[in-house]
Amino acid sequence: MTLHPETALRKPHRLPILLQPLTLATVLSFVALAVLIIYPLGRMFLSTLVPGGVPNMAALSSLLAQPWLLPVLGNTCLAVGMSTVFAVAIGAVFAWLNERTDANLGLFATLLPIIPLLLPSVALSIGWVFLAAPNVGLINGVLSRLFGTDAAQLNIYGWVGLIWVYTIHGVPYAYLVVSSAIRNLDPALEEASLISGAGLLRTLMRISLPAIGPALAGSCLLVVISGLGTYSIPAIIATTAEIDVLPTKIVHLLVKDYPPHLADAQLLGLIMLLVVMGFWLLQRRLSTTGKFVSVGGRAAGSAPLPLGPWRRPARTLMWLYILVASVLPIAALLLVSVQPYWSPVIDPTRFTLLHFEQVLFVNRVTFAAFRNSLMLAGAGATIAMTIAILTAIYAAFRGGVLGRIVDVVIKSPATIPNLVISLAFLTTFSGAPFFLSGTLTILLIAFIVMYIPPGSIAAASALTQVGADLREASYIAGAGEGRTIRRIVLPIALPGFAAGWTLVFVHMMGDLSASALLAGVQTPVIGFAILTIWETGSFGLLAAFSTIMCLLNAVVVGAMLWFVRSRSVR
Amino acid sequence: MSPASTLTKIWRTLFACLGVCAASIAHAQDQAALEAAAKAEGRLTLYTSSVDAETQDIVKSFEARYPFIKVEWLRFPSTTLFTRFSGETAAATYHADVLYSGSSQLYQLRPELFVELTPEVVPNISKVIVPAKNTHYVVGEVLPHIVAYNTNTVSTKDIQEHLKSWKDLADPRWRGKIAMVDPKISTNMVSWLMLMRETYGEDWVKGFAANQFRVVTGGPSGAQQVAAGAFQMVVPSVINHSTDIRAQGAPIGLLSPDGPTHGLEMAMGLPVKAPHPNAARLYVNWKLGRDAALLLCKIGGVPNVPAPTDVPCPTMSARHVGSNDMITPEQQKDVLSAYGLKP
Repeated sequence: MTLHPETALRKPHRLPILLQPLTLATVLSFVALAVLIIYPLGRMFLSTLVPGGVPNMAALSSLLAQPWLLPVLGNTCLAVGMSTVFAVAIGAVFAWLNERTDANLGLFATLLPIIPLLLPSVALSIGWVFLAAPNVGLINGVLSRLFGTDAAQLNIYGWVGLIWVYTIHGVPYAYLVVSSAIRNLDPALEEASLISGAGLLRTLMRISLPAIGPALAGSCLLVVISGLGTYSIPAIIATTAEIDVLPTKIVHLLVKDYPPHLADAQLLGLIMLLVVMGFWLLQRRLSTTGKFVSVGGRAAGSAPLPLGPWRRPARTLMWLYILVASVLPIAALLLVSVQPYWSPVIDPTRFTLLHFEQVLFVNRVTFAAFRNSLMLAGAGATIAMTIAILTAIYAAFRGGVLGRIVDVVIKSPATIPNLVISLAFLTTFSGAPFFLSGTLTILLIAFIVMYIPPGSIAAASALTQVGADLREASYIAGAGEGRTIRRIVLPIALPGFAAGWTLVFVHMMGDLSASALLAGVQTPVIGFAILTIWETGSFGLLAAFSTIMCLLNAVVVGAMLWFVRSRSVR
Repeated sequence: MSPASTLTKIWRTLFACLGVCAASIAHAQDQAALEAAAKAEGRLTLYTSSVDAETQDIVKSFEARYPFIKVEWLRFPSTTLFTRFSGETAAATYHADVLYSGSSQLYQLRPELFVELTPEVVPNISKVIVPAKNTHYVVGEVLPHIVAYNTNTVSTKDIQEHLKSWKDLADPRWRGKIAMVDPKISTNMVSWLMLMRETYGEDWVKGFAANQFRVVTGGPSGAQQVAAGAFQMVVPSVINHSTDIRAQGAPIGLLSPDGPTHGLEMAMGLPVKAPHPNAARLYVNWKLGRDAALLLCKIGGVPNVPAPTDVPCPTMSARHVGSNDMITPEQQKDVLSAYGLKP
């Protein structure tokens, strides 16, 4: 006997539908999230564009008359646009190499999307400053000794450096989306094309690429949103390079200019949001116009494509990426953290743990920042994942209009740059009637809103592993909805939920966007501490702090991987 | 002298002594009451633009003297501090008990946000040397602008010979070797640029700009990059920007070139809505006292109260020119453009 899952689930209900715990929790989560997203954004933009209900175009005219506006927009387009093209190209090629060819890195291929978890963008940027700052970067030190001259030098403080770090940061996002699309793509068509003598390049261009077109467009959108919303990379590299981009300009207008220019910052936030919405519509249009071929079915048992002489260079390229995206920056952080002061000359006899001592035992902000961030990320990830799991269960098992709306709302913050959400929270909840300025509460709420989408995606993905037949069996055996969720759904999906929790946790730990605007002296968090140390210019302290942060992330991610593997074995 | 006049003198002296004693007792009682109130508050939050190493030492010393007060601090450049403080004030959320910044701009623009500092509020204010521009803040110390240079890449002899005066910064010899602290982080940086322009003229400005100085995000950051060898020197620096790395053996030398000695007048104010007003008063008074002065002498700052005579201490330069912190946006735009910087 086969019961339709929805019918099966609805059978044990005794209470009116709105009073059932799952529905109630889902509705409450939905209302809370919707309010926390729409209210601050709406209030922020309304207060700028229609203060007191009267349309005010003066703020907009004033912004449009600013001589810096066009250069800032142009710089942002160039930096984010170029790095998106590079990141998606690299991510897509790596995804294809790992999913379809014999250049697959095996276990290490799983490392590619995990890298940003181990090394948040802020640590990545600082690591690359230590590597490639003019004259003093560790790579420059090596180059000078190698060639006996300072002529061959890297310079992180320029366009190339900025786009380079943005690209490294964006690759894993593109890789995640594209590799998933390739994995779900039936290889039979590619194989047929190759057998018909189309050749590797032609197959790639005529079969593989069109099939993953929507995924490529989706990854472009993801990298653009991530690039626009990331404050850490431009704060550390573009500021010194004297390249003004939207994220740094917004923060500068708000916290570095006196008196602050709130209206200008809010309007820039609106521009950022409109750009993202434009991309989102474009991506949806591309995905639905039917110009791309969607191929169903999973790749099963097909032999990897032999690359022949290209196998070794392809693998080398991927190893090189892992080297530049994680190994080198982490090594640079470690090295500077044990030097008494930053120097391109590596002298092990002078290594010291002084900066670690400062971070852990002397500097009051750094220790409090670790404590607060661990607390906030722990609580925030738990709350966010609880909401994500509840709503994912509802959307997956019950569906319906509410399920679809909840799913859209919970994922919607992913389409809003983090800096815009932080800005909206700052202007809405800091003062009357909420008075949440500089409190852990405002940070916690902002973190949950900003980082719930990856948790939601992970939760939904974990639930796909729970087959409908198992749930049906549970209901037939007389278990109610709650018992089925507790005894069947949760145990099976737990590794996926744990992975989602880790994703959310690590994002919250490495956040700089909310921390730059919302944290205060009583509530320092990691991002806030990094900014103050960066402003103070204590590079050794910064390196030690970033190293400890990477270590903490590595422990959490490692524990998650161990947990997922141990559960999978069972 | 008649016995009557002698008696009058004795009485007068006695009354004077009694007056002094009464004042001392009253002061001691006030101080005791203040300490008791501060103890009840138990906390103090500083908003400071001083480098962390200095703040750590100062706070440690203050907490040793008043162990019942736990001090927290927030460190940002002056402009960022002002924006944060005024934003919090506008939102009616109050965290700062004492504001200590390298610029006095906010105290001059918004004096109503700060308590009027009289000897009744802060007794040690009567000892200060450099007066504030109004009564709503006090100058806590003076930090003269100097040059910090890398002793490995440029010898002391060379720099003394080729950077006798600030004017020599326009010498093409230094092309590509100078780091300049971002003028936008505080009005005192713009004030220094204005003073150099007024003193040496437009040709000098062009010559200095032609030396392709590189802007660095802050004084301590500039000093660290000089120590690492990215630049030969950073201007304008102050002594405590490099105190900690010099202690670690960094190759940093300091030079005070001839010409006007422009300096930061570190401005200290008590916010009207400070959450811990008594601890704040206690701190400001202590900061203008002997213990803090001794510490400042050790760090290299110039105390704005008579320096202790029993320890070596930097003295106020006769050529000291205080920072002009009331620079209009137009003036700032003009001066930055003259140096080829983005306004």
